[in-house]
Amino acid sequence: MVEIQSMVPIAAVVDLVLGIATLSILARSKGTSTNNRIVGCVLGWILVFLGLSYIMTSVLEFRYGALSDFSAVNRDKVGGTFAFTAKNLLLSSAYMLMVLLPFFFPFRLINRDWDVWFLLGGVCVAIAVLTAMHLMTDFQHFEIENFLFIPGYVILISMYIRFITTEVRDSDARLRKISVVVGLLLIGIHGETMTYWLSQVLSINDLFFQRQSIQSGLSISGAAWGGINTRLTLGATAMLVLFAGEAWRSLKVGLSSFGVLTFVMFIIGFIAGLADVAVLDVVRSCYETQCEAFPAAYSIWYDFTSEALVYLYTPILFMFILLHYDIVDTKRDENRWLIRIIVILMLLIVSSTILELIQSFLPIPDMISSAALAIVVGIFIGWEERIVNSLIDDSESIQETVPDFARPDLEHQIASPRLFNLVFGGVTMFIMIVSMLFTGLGVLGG
Amino acid sequence: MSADVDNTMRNLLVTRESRAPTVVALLVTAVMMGVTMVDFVGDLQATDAFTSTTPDWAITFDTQTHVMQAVETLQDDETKNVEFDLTEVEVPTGFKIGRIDVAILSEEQDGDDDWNQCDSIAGDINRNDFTAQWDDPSNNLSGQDSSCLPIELRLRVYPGFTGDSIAVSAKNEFQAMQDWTSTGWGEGQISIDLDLDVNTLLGLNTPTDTDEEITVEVTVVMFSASIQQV
Repeated sequence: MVEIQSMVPIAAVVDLVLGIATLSILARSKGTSTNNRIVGCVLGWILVFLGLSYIMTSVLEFRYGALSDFSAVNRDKVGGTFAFTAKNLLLSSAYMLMVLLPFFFPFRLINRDWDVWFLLGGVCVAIAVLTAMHLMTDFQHFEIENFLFIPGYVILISMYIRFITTEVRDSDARLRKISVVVGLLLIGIHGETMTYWLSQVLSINDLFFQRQSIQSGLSISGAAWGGINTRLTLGATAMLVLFAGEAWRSLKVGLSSFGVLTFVMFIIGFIAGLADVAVLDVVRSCYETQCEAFPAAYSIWYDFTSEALVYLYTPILFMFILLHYDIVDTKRDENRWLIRIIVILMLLIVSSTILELIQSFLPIPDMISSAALAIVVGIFIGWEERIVNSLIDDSESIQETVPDFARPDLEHQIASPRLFNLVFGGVTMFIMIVSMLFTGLGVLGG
Repeated sequence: MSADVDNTMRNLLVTRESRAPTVVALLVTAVMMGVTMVDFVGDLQATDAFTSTTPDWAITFDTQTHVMQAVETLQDDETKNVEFDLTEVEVPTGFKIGRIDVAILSEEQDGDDDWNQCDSIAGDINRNDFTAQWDDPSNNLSGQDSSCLPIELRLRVYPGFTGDSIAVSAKNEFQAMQDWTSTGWGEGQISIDLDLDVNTLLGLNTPTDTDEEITVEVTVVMFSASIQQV
């Protein structure tokens, strides 16, 4: 059996570096518009929460050896531990921010004086309620928060279709930037489930979760299973909508790089669906006979597609949104060096991880992989300026791109990075303390 | 929210051209969610039943036997080895070898030693590469007799097999039966050592006895397990 190394620690570093850098750039940029400040803080904190959650997952993996198929955590081994509790609560917090993000980006839909309070208060209340519920029910209803993704999904899907149809009808190339960023947000939020689209259409994902439940000793509720199914369905239909939209646009306007990305993901999902059908006997073995391990080829495929998308490409995708849509002030010289460091750092981390992954199942000698990494480093250093400039020079905020659609920017003094950092930093502390307390009380994981 | 704000928001989300595809996309989402939810709920119930209960199962054994025999004549103080090749045994489909019973019988089998003529016979099942439970406490690998009674030896071949019905707790039929599906037991040759010590009466008109005809009967007990939920 091929031993594939985990990507979770890398994802933790990448997400944390990018999240902290984003918040730091935002704190230094005084001239950023209110809306960009809000969106930047939300994206930055999504990355921080994900990064912290991945750190906890790494602890569970390396200390307890609790990671099973599909990066799921074996609850039999770690239920009730601090890392398990904190991981889930941090993930819930990241989800809450993702849930509210479509209300603020690409357009600030509500655009009222109170919408910032709605964002901050909504996240705090939701986290308080979810934390209480999860702790009282020993995480039996974890994933129920997936139902909250529905409003954001409706907004993003409607906006994507609205702007792609108008772009093609009016031949207004400016609008492409909106449909692309909406598509990227859909991939950022639902990327992993998008790669399971065929399995969801064939309605076989339930069998995988049945296996996972039996394997990891989960005793989850109907509401939790409903939440999982909701997320899978939203991902599958988002993929189908993006594919249909991009195929139609390619016919009318021509192929674009986002179109290529969509088609690649669609094909990955198609192949993954066929692979899922092929391993159904293994999937059902836990229920019908005795759990059999997935074939090595299947695990490698999963690692290189769905898992890499979640752990490696999603942070890069968020980085692209942050820079290309001018959410952080890329024009200021004092920000540029930090942006350069982040871009190169992230590209290098991801490239070296991919190389390591390849090396883990192909018999490539260390000498050759080191040389390959040196080549990648050389390319990134040589083209560093070009790569960064191509990201930054074409960057334009939504307000600048489509001023006729942008809502008037309401100036909120309160919508400062400092306030967001205080509130979400407080949420992080709250999660850590509650996790420690409940672990100490020994009431979880029973 | 004012009507103006409402209109602007609507304008960002839907236009006349996008209304139909948006409605179709959302309808497809709703239908897919409904259909897959039914599947998920069905599996949830099955999984819940699977993980929360561990049913009891009764396993019963249907047995068949195959007898192999060898007759050997041993001289006084002679030791002889007899081998039985179990690859020659035709094991019916679905059956496995569970136990080997060996009976060593002398010519005089009345159990009556009136003339003090019963010879002393010893029999041992030799430990070799025959695949069996050699260290099982229920085994009886050596025996000796000098009262004209059969010597009975026993070797357990399949782990845990006694022939009696058993009850087990397991998640499903497969797991309950798992202990009774292993293969590879009962392969090889059974090797038995026989040893004779003739008893002759001292006297003028007593018959002289210098040898003994010994019959070795090997009974191969085969079983097929069947299961029923209690």
